[in-house]
Amino acid sequence: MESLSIALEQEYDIVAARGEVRRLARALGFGSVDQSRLATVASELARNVVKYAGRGRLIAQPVTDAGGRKGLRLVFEDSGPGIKDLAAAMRDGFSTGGGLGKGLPGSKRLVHEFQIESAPDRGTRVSVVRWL
Amino acid sequence: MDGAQRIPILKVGRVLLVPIQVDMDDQTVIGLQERILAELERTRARGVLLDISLLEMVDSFIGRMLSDIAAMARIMDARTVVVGMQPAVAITLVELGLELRGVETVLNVDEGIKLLRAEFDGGNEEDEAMRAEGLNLFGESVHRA
Amino acid sequence: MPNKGVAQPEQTRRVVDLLATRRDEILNLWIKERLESGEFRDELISKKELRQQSQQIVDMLAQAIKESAGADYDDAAFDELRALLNLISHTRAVKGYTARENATYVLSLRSIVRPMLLEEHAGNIEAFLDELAYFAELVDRLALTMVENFIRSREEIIHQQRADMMELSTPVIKVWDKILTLPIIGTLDSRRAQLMMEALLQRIVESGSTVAILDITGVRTMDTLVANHLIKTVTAARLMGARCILTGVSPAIAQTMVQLGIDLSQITTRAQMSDGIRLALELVGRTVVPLSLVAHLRNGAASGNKQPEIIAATNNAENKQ
Repeated sequence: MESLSIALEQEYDIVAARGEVRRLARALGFGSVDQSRLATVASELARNVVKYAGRGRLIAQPVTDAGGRKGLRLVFEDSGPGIKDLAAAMRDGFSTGGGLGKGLPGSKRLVHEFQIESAPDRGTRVSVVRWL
Repeated sequence: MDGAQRIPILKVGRVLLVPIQVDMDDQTVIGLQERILAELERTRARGVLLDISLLEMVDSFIGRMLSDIAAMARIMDARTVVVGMQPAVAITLVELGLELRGVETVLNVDEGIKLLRAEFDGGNEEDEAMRAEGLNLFGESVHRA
Repeated sequence: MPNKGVAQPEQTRRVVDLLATRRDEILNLWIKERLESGEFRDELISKKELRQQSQQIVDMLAQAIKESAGADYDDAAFDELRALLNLISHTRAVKGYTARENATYVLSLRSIVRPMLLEEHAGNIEAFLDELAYFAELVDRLALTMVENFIRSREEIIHQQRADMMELSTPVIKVWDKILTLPIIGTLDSRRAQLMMEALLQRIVESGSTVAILDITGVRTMDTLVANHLIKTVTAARLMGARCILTGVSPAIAQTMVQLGIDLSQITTRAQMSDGIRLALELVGRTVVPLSLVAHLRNGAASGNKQPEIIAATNNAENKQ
């Protein structure tokens, strides 16, 4: 199955991102709970891109591991201001943007693999995988 | 057109029924919250039924709206009930770390109406006026056995 | 399978003639050997079936050797034989054979053909050794195919049985209008707990149930993972508008939970399932009363009294929660 690239530039793109991710997850055979998890992760992390970096993109990519297990990888990239304190950002309830502070730590709980790279003024890249 | 305008707020007796049937962008969420509070003030409704049974996803932004509406409505002396959250959405919200404490929930609109029917303790003029006419919160006549 | 075996092209193997001309003799010896081996179990396979299978193997083996022109077992000429062996070993896996029985069955073919090869090559020891090495290698590979596929089939069967058990072990039962129970039995792993949670929440929606009783009388051990799943289920049910009651918490499990620091303060618990059912009924506005009381109330109603006592009793019980 093809991978998908979605531009994240305005608020409505968050809705488009979670809709596309859900469609892809369904096509890959994910059940309703997993579809909800993936759509929610897409929504949380796409919002971070739009809100903190202004623009960036989401790449949704079907993957297969060595054992033949299928999954979906979502990569969120931006070249925004980056995150100063990654450890703090991963804590529940920490927010610099007036949110609930559930976006990053909550998203991590909804996927099997979660990687985040960020440096001040160099942007942020979050890569997550949920296996079928 | 403002997206928020597409979500209807129905007034049934002294209850606001809000069926949310579209995937809302953040502006729509904010707009809806403001409109519900404005309607509460205008109609002096005592209850809000937020029907989310068609929502396939509730993220932290929408979750926060649900909590905020409940808290703000409470200050305005109205009771908010979230109706019909899907199992997949509920599981996701719990894993996300949102438990919506302080928000009342019911399985379906029937249960929501049942819950708010019981809520009619009087205490202000409008309530007393309706009670005098033998009506409940939904404007239905109350038959007492 | 790609055609890799090009080591000795166009080589005609004498063993092919042997398998053809002395086929019945080989078959008789092979089957006799199996019957006498002590591994033959007539409850698993009939003699007729064994003979049919063995005959098919010998015929296909001869055919494949001939077509492959001396190439090794990876040659495409052996595809059909491989498929047959897969089928046979799968059937045997279903029937409950052991891996050893599968291997020795095919391997015994070697010791039967060996003296015949020696006879055929009388006086030419070098040709005999070459032919034997070729045939022995082939038979080893056949045995390997049998065993590998046998193990794969067993794994599939175990997997299937596990899935069946999971299905069986999540029985969500409706005990009354709007009341469900989920008796949890045995060992809970993360996957099973996840499936149970999803099954329960789905049934809550479908049946419009507002109360669910989770009974863990049959759960022997409790760890943080399982407890977290229970808490998650209860919280998710609450978000949907249903209330959970946890029953059947044994003293040992209560102790473990406290020691693990699991906070169950948000969860309503009752010692026994029956207490849970009583509370559930109260939550949906019902109660169980002795028949004598019902008769008494009927008589009372007939003599003009209303029924305030019983309504008050229900309300009190609800208020306690």
